Amino acid sequence: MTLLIFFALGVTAGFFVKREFKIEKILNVTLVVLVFAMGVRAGQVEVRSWKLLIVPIALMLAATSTSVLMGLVVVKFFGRR
Amino acid sequence: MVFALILVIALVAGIITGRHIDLDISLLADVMLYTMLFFIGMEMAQKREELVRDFTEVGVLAILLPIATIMGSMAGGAIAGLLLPGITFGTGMTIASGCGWYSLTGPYLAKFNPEYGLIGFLANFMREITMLIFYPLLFKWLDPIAAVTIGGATTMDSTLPLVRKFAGRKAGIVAFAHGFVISLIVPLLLMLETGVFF
Repeated sequence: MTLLIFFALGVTAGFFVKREFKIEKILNVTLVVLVFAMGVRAGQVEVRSWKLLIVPIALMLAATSTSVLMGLVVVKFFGRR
Repeated sequence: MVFALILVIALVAGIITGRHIDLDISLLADVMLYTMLFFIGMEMAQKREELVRDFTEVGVLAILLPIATIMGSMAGGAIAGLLLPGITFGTGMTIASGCGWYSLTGPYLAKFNPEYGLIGFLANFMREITMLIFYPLLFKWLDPIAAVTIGGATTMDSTLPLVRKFAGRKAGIVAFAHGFVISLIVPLLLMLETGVFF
């Protein structure tokens, strides 16, 4: 819920604040810190098995391939008009 | 690609730090996550006219393609969750629902379970890398617009230049709209799914 509140606050601010910040740079910095923090958390977890490597790959392949299949169906029926 | 490398270095550095130093970094991670969402929301609102124009041009595909991507990701994740050890139908579906938005999915799921956070980050991060590597190879063979689904939410920003460069302006607009709609839906979807499955 807090995430949603901050997102909504950002959207509201965007309607009133005309000045465009260098958002790309802000995002880059926050992202690097976030990824580092995730790494710290992950490093504190006792890795017991191979699943931390195999599972993400398998999940990504499954999700991506089914997405592409669905995308092909949508393009076939709605994309050539 | 350079930034992707920086992220990998940050992740590895974090893992090494976490293994050797007892550090509580959760507050900093929360502040960064909230800051990032604030600025993403702000950017969307500031570029609203541009967004409306692009959406009008691509028509129904702007809505149907991202829905196809999300449904496909959820279905694929659920199937993987059933087949893989250590995760369940629901957690697999939730992780895959990130649709490539690794910077949100990883930290968000880590709030519930650090291990799922890492899996969520890696699975969605690899989706971006997969897009960078395979879109130029597959877009003609599949379909330039259908292949946009590989990138998930990343087609709005990091992989958008790739789509424009290889598949042209129309595919670029579809890619932007695709990423934008997914970026709107994914946070809500993650909240809903973690409420049900975690």
